[in-house]
Amino acid sequence: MVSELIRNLGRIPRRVIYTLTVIIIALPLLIPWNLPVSVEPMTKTFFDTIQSLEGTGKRILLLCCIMPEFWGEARHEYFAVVQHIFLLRDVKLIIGPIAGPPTVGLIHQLLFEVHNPLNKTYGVDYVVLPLIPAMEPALGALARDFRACYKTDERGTPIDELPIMKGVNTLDDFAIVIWGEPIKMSIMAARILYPQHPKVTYLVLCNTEGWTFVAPYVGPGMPYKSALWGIRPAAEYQLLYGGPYTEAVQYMDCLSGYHVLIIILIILGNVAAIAATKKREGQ
Amino acid sequence: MGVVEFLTTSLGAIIILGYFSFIFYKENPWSRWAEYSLVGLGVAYGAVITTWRAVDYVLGSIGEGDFSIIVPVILGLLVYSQFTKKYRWLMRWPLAIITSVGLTVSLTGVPLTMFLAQFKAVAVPLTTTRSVFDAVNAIIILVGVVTILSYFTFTHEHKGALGISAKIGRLIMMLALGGAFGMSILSQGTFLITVIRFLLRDWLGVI
Repeated sequence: MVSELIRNLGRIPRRVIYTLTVIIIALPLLIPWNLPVSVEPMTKTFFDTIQSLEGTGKRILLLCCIMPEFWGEARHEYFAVVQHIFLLRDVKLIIGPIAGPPTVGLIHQLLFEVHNPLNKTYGVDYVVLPLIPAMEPALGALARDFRACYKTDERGTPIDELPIMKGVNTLDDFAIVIWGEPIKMSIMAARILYPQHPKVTYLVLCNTEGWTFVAPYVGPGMPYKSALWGIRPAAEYQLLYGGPYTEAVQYMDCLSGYHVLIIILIILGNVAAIAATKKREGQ
Repeated sequence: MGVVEFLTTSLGAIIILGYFSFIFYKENPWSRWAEYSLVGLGVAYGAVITTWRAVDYVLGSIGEGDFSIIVPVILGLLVYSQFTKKYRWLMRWPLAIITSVGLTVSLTGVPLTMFLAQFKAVAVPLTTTRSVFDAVNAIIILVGVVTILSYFTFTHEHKGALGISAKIGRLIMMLALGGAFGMSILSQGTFLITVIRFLLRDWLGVI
């Protein structure tokens, strides 16, 4: 009886699993659990690198390729980082969408929704450059001659008329370059941008799935100094700068519940598989 | 919530529920409509943005007297030769150039980032690590690299020391693949959280 029940664990209908998942995720949204979130050293390094620019008047270049299918997760990192930069005094942000056309719309959504507490001015404190619809050749061109890649900003204003772009000719004119892409293009960027401009500090925004591929390129002596890779680091980052955008922090309870459910399902599935194997061997 | 906002939010919710009908029920016209809408909108949006960006850049360059831009324009237009049987072969030229340029640009950084930096990361002196955990990590990475390389050594039979090393290498690879799969599950969970929050807060307004 018990052994039959154990073997049947491997045959739980998928609808039951999906329903349980939806319930476990919805519960903390309705009744928050307020579980504590600790900050990992990598997130702290990312935060400190950007924070160190406060009051310096230096520029940060955010080059990004965002796909809508990853936006649900990636948006929290982008919101956190852009919000943090907007909270800093005298730090300029230049955003350059690359490769994926949806990036343009998502960047506009981000700038529309993110809080701008210091009322940063477009063209002076931040600017959006037009999309470069290519991958390796685009990165190669940016590394070789950044200025030649852009004649106007995204609104059609000539680059020379934008105060924020005065004196910007190459990637070396940026204190930090943040590369944002969900999965593998981050490796491509590390291979192309870093060798030609090694003095610039590079940071990366990827998603949880892509972290496995990007991780070997992050850390001391690597192209990327630090990384945010998904909702958990985004939540840590939001705690570090102290909001007001804290959506990722609110998601942590849901994520913890989801993890527990997945771990239980993995254990049940393995127990069922072992029981089934033992039964076959017994026969 | 205004009427327009309510309608757009409801449209989003209907599309999401269409996807959900696939996993909770089976493939049906609603789920197919949701899927095709996303693909169609994505392609249309991409086509418009990319075309205007290209046209803007080309016209801007010509306006500045840079006529060399005409060469890549012609190469780009050659891609459309695939729609004719007689001139389909012309498409190979732009493709060959795109591929070779991409590879060249990408490969120039390979020795530094994929070899030297990785070698340095593997051979971290234990005296330079910041904590005990870092030291343990450094040892695991070194052991992992050596044993996995031994697993892919096919010129000798996997027996004796090489056999043990290969087994350890396989185990570490399995752990890495399991970790990668776990990351994927974690990622999907985040998407689901975002979607459920959208339905509960933005659409239904219950949180």
